[in-house]
Amino acid sequence: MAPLLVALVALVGYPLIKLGYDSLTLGDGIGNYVTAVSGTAAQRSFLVTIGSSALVTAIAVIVGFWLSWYLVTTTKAWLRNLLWVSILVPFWLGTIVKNYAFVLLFARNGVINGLLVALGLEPVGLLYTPTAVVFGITYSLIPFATLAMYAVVSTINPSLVIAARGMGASRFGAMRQIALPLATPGFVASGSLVFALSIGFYITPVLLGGAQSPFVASVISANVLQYFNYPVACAQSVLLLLMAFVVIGAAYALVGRDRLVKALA
Amino acid sequence: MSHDDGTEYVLDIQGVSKRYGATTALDDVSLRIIPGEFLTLLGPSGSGKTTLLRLIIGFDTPTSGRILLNGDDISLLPPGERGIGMVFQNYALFPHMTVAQNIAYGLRLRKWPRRRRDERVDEMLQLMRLGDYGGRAITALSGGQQQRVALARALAYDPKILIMDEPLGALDRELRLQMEEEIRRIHRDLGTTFIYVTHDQQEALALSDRIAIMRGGDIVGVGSPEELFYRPRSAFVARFFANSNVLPAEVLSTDGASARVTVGGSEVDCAVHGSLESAQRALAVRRRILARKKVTPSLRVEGEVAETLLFGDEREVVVRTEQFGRVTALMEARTTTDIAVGQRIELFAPAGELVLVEDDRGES
Amino acid sequence: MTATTRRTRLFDRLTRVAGAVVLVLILGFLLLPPLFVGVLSFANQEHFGFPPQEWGFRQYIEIGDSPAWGRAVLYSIGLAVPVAVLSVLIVVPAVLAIERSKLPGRRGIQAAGMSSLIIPIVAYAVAMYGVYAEVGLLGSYLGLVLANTILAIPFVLVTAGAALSQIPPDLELAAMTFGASRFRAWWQITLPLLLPAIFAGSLLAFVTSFDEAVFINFLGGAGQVTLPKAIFDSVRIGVDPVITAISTIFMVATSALMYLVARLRRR
Repeated sequence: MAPLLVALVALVGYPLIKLGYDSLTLGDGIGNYVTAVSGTAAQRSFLVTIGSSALVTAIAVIVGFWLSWYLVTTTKAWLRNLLWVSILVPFWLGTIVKNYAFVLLFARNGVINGLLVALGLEPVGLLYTPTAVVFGITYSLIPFATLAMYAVVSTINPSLVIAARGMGASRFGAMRQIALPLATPGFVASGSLVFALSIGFYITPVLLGGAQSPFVASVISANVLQYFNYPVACAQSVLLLLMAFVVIGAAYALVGRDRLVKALA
Repeated sequence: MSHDDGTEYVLDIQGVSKRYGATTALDDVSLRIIPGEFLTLLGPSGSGKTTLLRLIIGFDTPTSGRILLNGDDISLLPPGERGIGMVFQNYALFPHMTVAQNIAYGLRLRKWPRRRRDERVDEMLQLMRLGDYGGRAITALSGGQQQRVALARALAYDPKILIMDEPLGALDRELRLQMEEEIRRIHRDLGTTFIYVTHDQQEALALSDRIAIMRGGDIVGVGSPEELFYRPRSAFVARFFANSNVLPAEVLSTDGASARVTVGGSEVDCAVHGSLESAQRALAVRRRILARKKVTPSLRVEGEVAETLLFGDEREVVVRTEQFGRVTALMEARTTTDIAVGQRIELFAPAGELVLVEDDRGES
Repeated sequence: MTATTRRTRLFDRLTRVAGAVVLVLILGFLLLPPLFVGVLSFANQEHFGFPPQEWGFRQYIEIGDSPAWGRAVLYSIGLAVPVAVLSVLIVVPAVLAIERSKLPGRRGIQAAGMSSLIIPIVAYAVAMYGVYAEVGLLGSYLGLVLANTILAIPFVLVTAGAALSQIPPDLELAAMTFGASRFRAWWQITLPLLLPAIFAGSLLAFVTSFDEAVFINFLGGAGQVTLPKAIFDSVRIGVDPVITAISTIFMVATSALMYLVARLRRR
């Protein structure tokens, strides 16, 4: 266990502590945080990041439930295989390849605009918009959302829904009254996970949101790599971390560690 | 087997206790095992039988007390140096080795020369009626075959004692009966001392020369299956081992071998086996001795039939009585076809079959 | 049949059809993007456009003509191999302790081992940047190996942990009754059984490192161009169609590796 412990302390624990320490001691000290959230651009970046991540979370979790429910209930082997492939493809596609695929779709002369023009419509500007970023992040996180959801949904006995229908519930009613309440821990675990991951995305905001994209990740990277304003980047990073901790911590309190770890595995 | 130091026991467990933190898993247990015998540790889960087994094989060391093997203290020896073989609950066969490699594993560690090793493996395959299965993969075997390989592997280096930990639990009923016979045969053929651990009293009855019944970290009864079944000393043994009815009783007079007691208001004579230490007494009434035919002297049980369950040749009749509460009887099924739930019934247990026991039911 | 049950039935059928339609849309969303990349890699065009006018292998030939891509691939492999080895060496003893011992806090360490998976990556990258600047690992090969290893650890942890929990501890105990020491029992019995999972875990670690694109931007130096970094820099500037071909090769290679991982884990 020792090597892992050393690695975790040196490469996870220490960096995060140092990040917090640097954010308070370098530059303007506590003023770094003031800088981090003052100015319309900075404020906008936080609002856009949180808003987009919330949207990503909502979509990914719903899709995750949809896919897990079919995975658990379908009796058709081909459908189950297809579902697994669909979930695992975005997981292992490679960060860069995924995002590049969306660049191809959204570009001015890309696939979607090509189709629109072929249909006699006007091309639209999709690339370098927050919408494109939301699509990209959602695509990357659907596997996480689904696997976390599946860990819970797979413990629901599908015959409960059949039983409810046998007692006279409609298909929709049975889902809403039986399956969804039982899947609540899944929504909590998977939602918190997706949100925490989403706010930290870097590649997608840069490639699909453009160089000037109003996402915190882009602002942070610019502060570190272009303006060499490391202290403010630290403060902004700490804010992101705190958001993630709060969300994950709330989920921890609600569903417990084992469910969260299981959601990850 | 005789020994210079005068012991005639292959295994001598002397006042062994095992504590894990605040909990006592084994409380001052003593047990002596005679060479060549088939001894069963029988008890419900949590009774300490697994702990005792772990101490004997060497996966754990006792907190106090000691364990002698042929007169030598082995309490602190690592398992491999004790010369005790073990068959695990789920066999614990090595899935990446063939049948022959599994059987030869212990021989290889003991540095047997190759030729002798191969001969021994063949011999074990013959003994276990595994013929030419030597080259097979473990995963290609049925449960019964895996069981035989596990036995062969544990016996290959001729251990002084073979321990079996609930070895038949994973098998279905028919195969279990078949394996019980097989284990008896192997025990007879080899003459090795067997220690068998189980929670199933049917298995214990069928297999053992002697049975040690465990409860709450202690051995509460040791004896042959007949002794424990027909002449129990305690209420726990009577109930756990023979499913007997246990009725609280009060002793009026005793002469050592028999006693006169009152039970549920009536007086009756009964047998006593050995000395009875605790003040609390009870009368053990085996289910099978209750019958409708009137005999004297006897204990009379009267009440309303609450339930009947057909077991095949026998039928269990549960009687709700005012005197004793629930009493169950086991009767020849063909003589009971007229018994219906709800009717009044009168049963008699011959006094000679009644056994006075310690009432240890209150303890846990 | 009453009017209400008829209405319920109609509603049920509608629910069912709606569910299936949404499912098809989801599956399309998940599967079509990589499919487009694969198909468009066979478009013969200098500048990207849709629909392409001509099909062929031009993009693949282009890769061969530019040595920079080959160099990037080699650099990525040069990182991923030590990451795979290192993460296995770190994780396997830990997994043994977690699954086999009763050490206090072992489940906590397991959870902590997964943490690099859920820390917002950009914040983590800044934190690592601070540490590397302090100890002089910025732009170093060793720094990238260590950083990628910490990202790869969760995958090895999960794969090896799941496999080990499937191997009964009784096997080692059995070996010990035959005279094996604890270490020998582990070496001869558990390790061989764990090997497929360890190999699968190391492949996952390899892929994780090979694919890493965030740390390289923060921690990597000018000469350190991995394949993801090369693609990232290119896509930032514009849509170079040659990347469709590179991405396609990338997808095929990772799919093959993942297939191998799945096979190994099933054993």
